[in-house]
Amino acid sequence: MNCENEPLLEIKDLKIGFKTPEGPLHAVKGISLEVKKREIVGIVGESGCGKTVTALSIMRLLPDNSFATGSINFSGIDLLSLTEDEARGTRGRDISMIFQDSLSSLNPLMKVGRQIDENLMMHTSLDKAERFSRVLEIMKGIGLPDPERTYGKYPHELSGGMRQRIAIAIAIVCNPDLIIADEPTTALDVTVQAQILELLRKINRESNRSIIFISHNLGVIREICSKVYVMYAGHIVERASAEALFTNPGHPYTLGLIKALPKLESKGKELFDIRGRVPSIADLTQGCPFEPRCDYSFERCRKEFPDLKKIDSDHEVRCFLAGGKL
Amino acid sequence: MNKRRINLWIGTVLISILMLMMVVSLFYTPFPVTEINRLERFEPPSARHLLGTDNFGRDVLSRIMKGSQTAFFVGLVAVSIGSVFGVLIGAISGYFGGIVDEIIMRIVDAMMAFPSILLALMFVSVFGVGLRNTIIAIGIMSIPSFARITRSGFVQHKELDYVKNAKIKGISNLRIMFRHILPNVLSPIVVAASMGFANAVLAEAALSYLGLGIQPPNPSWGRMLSESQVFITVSPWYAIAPGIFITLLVLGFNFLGDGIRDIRENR
Repeated sequence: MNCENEPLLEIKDLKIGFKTPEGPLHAVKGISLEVKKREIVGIVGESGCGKTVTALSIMRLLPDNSFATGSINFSGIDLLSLTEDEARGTRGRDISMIFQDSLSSLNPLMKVGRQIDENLMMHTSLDKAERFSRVLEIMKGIGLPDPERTYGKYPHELSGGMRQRIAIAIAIVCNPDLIIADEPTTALDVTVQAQILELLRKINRESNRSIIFISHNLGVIREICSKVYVMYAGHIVERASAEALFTNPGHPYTLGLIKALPKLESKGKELFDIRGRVPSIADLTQGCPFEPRCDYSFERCRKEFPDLKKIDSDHEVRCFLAGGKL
Repeated sequence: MNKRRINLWIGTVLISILMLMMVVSLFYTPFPVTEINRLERFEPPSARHLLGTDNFGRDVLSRIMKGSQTAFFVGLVAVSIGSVFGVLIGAISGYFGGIVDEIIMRIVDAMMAFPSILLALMFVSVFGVGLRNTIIAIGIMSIPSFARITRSGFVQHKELDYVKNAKIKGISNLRIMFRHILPNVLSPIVVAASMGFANAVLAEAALSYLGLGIQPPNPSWGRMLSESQVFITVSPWYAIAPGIFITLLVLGFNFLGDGIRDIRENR
């Protein structure tokens, strides 16, 4: 089918910075990203590398002291050039988002059913009864038991998994084309995590929705995504299909993340970690930002910043060693 | 836990009793409030006149009961004026922030810098004495404190995830402010309202005491206090009665406010 290849979201050379009294700080330094229809795209990276800021810029919810340049093209509209009112129209209806912590992302004093309903109220002209039945239908569809009773509950009365389902219900009730899931399973225990992943996969399969899945956990990413972007310090350092990323990681950082996954065979041995930490966005280096932590670095890495290099038809890596064997 | 609840209980009981008295006075007082009886001037408390009589031989209890209507009415309306405008101003200021916030808060600061009773005096002397202007003056006086409390709640809550999530749903700012944030920051505002009620009663008493508030022959506790002053050596109970009731009502609302705050903080 042709629509499979059509890009839904196309980000080109997106730069995001924050104005501070000490001068501007750059959190995202020119990333390009593409999400096709029906695709689940993963963005992976440690905390502080610009994943969430990128997501918020797609939602047009960056804080007031920030600035963004480049373009975010969403089915023909440039999101960055929308006025605030127009942006509000797309939020919730065309693009929606799921947060990590469902307890703090739901209003503690509003019944969960009403919170789902609110989204419909904003974006459709359905009357109260129609909305109510639609909400119940959605709640049933995502596996919430006894929707009529759950409708009238407050967030603190539900378990973490159920709350995350409510958050998902809020996100999908208006049939958005794109869902951004920002670490949606991080706060949940492993069995619930698996259920939520399965639910997201089902949502993706049964409708035309694309999903951007943000996580620092490559294991989760591998399970659900078809394409993965690896971000580091505001740059995309690797782009590959999920399969290629695991069989043939091109960037030392990706390799580090894969090695850091706990494995059954390595039980009892010390866990691997990447030494050092993500540079603060205030640090400005000339060379590759990963150089101080990289096991493969050499002279050139300290002076020059590598470009994204194509090593396969669908695999790009930002490293001088790309294409060789790590 | 019981110890914490005691404030709430005392407050509730005091206010309930006074409120009951106020409701009863709408239908019944032992004697007509303005009936003058030359034969029974300055009588001490007795079975016939529970709180004695005043310089015109009017029954003090009846006038106290009638006066409670004024006290509650003034408190209620003044707190309503103060809270509605204060919450509105504080919400806008806290939610939008930036230059709007800066300007509004400096105006509020300026208002707070005035001694409130002076502000009320000025207002009443410009626009004339009387019940309506007294209430408006007291209401305006209480706007700044409501605005400050509301603002600080909004500043705290606007950064929270549930507000972000509401924005993601595409909800308008107005709805986020009043349907999402306001219910979550309501409890300190309720505490402020309770305290504000007590302050309003005091302010009304003070203005009436100065002769600028409620005009005769309507009874007001503050006015009774000032009228009785002249006769304090002849009939001290006439002065003591309104004093005690002012104290009880103010105390009641203060206890209530403290009680609500205790519950909130120990949740």
